[in-house]
Amino acid sequence: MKVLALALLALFVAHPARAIDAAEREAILLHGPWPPEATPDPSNRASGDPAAIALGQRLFFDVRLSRDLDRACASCHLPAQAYADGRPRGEGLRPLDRNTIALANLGGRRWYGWDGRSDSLWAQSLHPIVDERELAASGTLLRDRLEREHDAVFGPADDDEIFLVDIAKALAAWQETLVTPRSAFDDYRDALEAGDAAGMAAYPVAARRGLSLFVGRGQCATCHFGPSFSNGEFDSVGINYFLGPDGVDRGRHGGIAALLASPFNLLGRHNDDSARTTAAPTTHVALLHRNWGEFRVPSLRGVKATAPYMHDGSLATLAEVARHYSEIDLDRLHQDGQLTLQPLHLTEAEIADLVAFLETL
Amino acid sequence: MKLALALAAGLAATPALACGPGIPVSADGLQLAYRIEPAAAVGRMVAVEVATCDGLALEGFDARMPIHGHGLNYRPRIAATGPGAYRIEGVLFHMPGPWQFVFDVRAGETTRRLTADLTIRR
Amino acid sequence: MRHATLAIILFAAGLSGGQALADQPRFIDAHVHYSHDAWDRLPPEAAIRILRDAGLAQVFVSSSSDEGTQRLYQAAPDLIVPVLRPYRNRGELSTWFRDPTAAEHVEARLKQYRYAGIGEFHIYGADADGPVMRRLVQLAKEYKLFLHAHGDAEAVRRLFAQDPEARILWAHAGFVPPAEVRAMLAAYPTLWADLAFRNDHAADGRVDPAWRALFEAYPDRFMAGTDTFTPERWYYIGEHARWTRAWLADLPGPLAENIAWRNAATLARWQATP
Ligand code: HEC
Ligand code: HEC
Ligand SMILES: [Zn+2]
Repeated sequence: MKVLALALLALFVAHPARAIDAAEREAILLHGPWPPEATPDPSNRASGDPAAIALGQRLFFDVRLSRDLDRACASCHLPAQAYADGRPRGEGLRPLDRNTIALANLGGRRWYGWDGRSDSLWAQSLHPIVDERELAASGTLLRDRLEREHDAVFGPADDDEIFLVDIAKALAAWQETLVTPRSAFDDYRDALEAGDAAGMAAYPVAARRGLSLFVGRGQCATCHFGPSFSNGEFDSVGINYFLGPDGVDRGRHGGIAALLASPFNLLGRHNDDSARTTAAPTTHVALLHRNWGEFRVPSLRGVKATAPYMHDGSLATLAEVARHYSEIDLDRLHQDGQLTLQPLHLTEAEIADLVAFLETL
Repeated sequence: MKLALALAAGLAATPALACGPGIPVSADGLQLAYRIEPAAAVGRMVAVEVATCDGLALEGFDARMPIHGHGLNYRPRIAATGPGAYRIEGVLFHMPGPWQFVFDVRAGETTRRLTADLTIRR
Repeated sequence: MRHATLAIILFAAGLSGGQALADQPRFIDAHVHYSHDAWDRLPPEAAIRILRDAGLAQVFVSSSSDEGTQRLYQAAPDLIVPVLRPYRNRGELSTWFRDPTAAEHVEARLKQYRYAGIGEFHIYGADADGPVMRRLVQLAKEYKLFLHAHGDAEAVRRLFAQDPEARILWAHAGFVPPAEVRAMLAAYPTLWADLAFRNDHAADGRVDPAWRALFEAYPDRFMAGTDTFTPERWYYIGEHARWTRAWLADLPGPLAENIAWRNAATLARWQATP
C-alpha cells in the first residue's frame, strides 16, 4: 500500500502532467521481469549442454552446412544486424518469401517461424539446412563432413536423419543462449515495481506516453503480451499476403499443414522428451478458417534493430508500423473474428511517442 | 501470479455445491463445478476438471472471448474420468481479458448450454 | 490419430490442384465476394479459373460494388449466381442502412440486371427496422429474391416481422450456437443458413454431434460458403471446398448432397427476371 502510494507520488513528480492508475501499473508490470529464467528444452537433450552449445555456435557460422560450401546460417542471420539481414525478404540460393527473423529469446516458445511451422527450435533450425532455397544440404552430406565433431558431443548416430536432427539440436542449444539485454524499458518497469522515483524519472517522457498508448487505448498488449511482447500465437493485422503474381502466403494455415506433415514435429521419434508433454500444443492445435493469412505475433524485444517489419518486410520503419495500426483498414479483418484492432487515428505526436516507446525495448 | 482467475460477480455469490470441488456453474437447476489446473495464465496449456451433479453428462466444451469475437486456437478434448467427472485437456488462453467457458450438458433427452465468465489477468 | 486424418486431408489437398469438376462431389459455394480490390488483383478469367479448379457447380457472388459480380457473371453465367450487395464500396458495411441512396442504388440495379438475392448486408438489432432496410425487404418481395443477411437473431426476426414470407439466408448462421440456430429454423420455415467462416460444426473431417443432430432435423436449410472478405481469400476457395467435402463425407449421402448443393440450388432458382 505504502509502496503504491510512493509509486504514484513518484510518477506524479516525474511526469506532472499525468498520474498512473492501478490498472495501468499492473499492465506495465506484466511485461517483465527481464531476462526470463533460462530453462532447458526437454525435447532437446543437447539443450543447456556446454559442449553442444559450443558446437552449435561454430556450426552456425560454418559453410559446411551448405551443399555448395558457400553460405551458412549467418549469411542471413547476421550478428551485426541482430541476427537478421535488414532486407524485406530473405535471399538464399533463391529469394525467400518472408522477412528473416532476428534470432533472440528463442527458448521456451510454442511455435517458430512466421507461420509456426515448427514446434521446436531444433526442428526450425533443421529446416534451412535442407531447404533447396537456403543451404540445400542433407543429413548424408553433413555426416560426411561433420561426423567427428558430431560424435564428440552426441556419440555415433544410428542414421543420417538422426545425425541431421542432432546437428539441428546443437544449433538450437546455442541459439537458446541469444537473449536481448535489459533495456531502458526494463529499468523503468522495475523502478515502477519498486516505487523508485529516480529510476522512473530516467525513462524518456515520450516513451512513457507511448507506453501508455501501448497498454491502453492501442490495445497492443492483448497480442504483444508479456515479457517478450508476444502471446506466441498468430493473427492478422491486415497486411497483404499475396505472393508473386498468382498466389498467396497461406501463413498459419500452411504452417499447421507443414507442422503436421513433418517427421520432425514433437509427436515424432526425434522428441527427446519421452513423456511427450512438450507435444501438447501440437496435439491440440486447431486448423481454422481464420488461419489463412495469419502470421506470428512477433516479439518486440530489440525491435528497433530489426527493420524492416512484418512477415514480408513491407513496412520499413517503426513509424510506418504505427501509421499502419493508426489507420488500419477494418475491411481486411473479419467482422466476427477480430474486434481488438480499431483505427486509432493517432496524431503525429502520438506516433512519435509510440515509436519512442518501441525503441526502448 | 497465482491468482490468475477472477470470477464473474454473479457466480462468486453462489455457494459451492456438493457435486464436486471447484467453481460452481448452474442454470435451470442444472449444476456443475469446474477447476483449472495448473492455475490459468496466458499462454499456458491447462486442463479443466469438471464435476457434474445429478448424472448430468458433459458433451461439449468451448472457451471464447466474447468481446473479441474469437475462440481458442486449440481444440480441447473431453475425457470421462469417473461418474460425473471429466477432464478437458488442451485449453490455452492466448490473450488476457474476459473469457467465457461453454459447457454443453445433457440431462436425459434435453441438452443445455451452461456458460461461465472468467477473467484471465496474466 | 486425429492428426493423421488431418495430415492426409491436407496432403490430398496439395495434390488435387486442377482436378476436373467431374471427379468431385457436386458443391455450391454460397458465400463469395468479388470486391474492387479483388478484381484489381484477379481479373475475371483468373477468378473463374479458381472457381472451376475448386470444382464448384455454382457460386453465390455478391460484391462491393456490384460491378464485380456483373463482370464475373458475364464471364461465366453458368457458374455465377448474382446476389446484389447494397454497398458501392467496401467500407460501407456499418453505415449503409442509414444511407437512403443505398436503397436507390439497389432499386436501380434490380431494374437493370438479374439477381437471385439481395445481400450480403450487415444488420444488427433495431437497425433492421430502419427505412433503408425496410425498402430492401420490400424490393426482395417484389422481385422474388432472397435476403442474405449477416446479423444477429434479433435483426432476422425483425426482417421476418416485416415480411413473414421473406426468404432469408442467414450468413454464418449468425455465429450463434447450434441451439439458437435450431430455435430460429423452427420459428421461420423460410430461413436458410450458411456455415461460412465457422469451425464449430466440423473438424478433421468429422461433424460435431450437436450440429449433426441439427443438420438431420433441418436437412433442407444449410449450405456452405467460403467468405472471401479479402482478395487473398480467393485462394482459399479451393482449400475450403476440400475441407467442406471432407466433413460432408461424414454425413449420410442424401443429407451431404443437400448441404453441398441442393439447398443452395433451391435458393438460386428463386431468381427473377427484370
Ligand atoms: C537464406 C536465408 C536464411 C538462411 C541461410 C537461414 N535462415 Fe533462418 N530464417 C530465414 C527466414 C527468411 C526466416 C523466416 C522464415 C519463415 O518464417 O518462413 C528464418 C527463421 C529462422 C528461425 C525462426 C526464429 C523464430 O523466432 O521463430 C530460426 C530459429 C532460424 N531461422 C534459424 C536458422 C538457422 C539455425 C540457420 C542455419 C542452419 C538458418 N536459420 C539459415 C532466413 C534464413
Ligand atoms: C490482434 C493482435 C495484434 C495487436 C492488437 C497488435 N499487433 Fe502488432 N503484430 C501482430 C501480428 C500478427 C504482427 C505480424 C503481422 C504480419 O507480419 O503480417 C504484428 C507486427 C507488429 C510489429 C512488427 C514487428 C516485426 O518484427 O516485424 C510491430 C512493431 C507491432 N506489431 C506493433 C504493434 C503496436 C504498436 C500495436 C498497437 C497499436 C500492435 N502491434 C497491436 C499482432 C497484433
Ligand atoms: Zn482476444
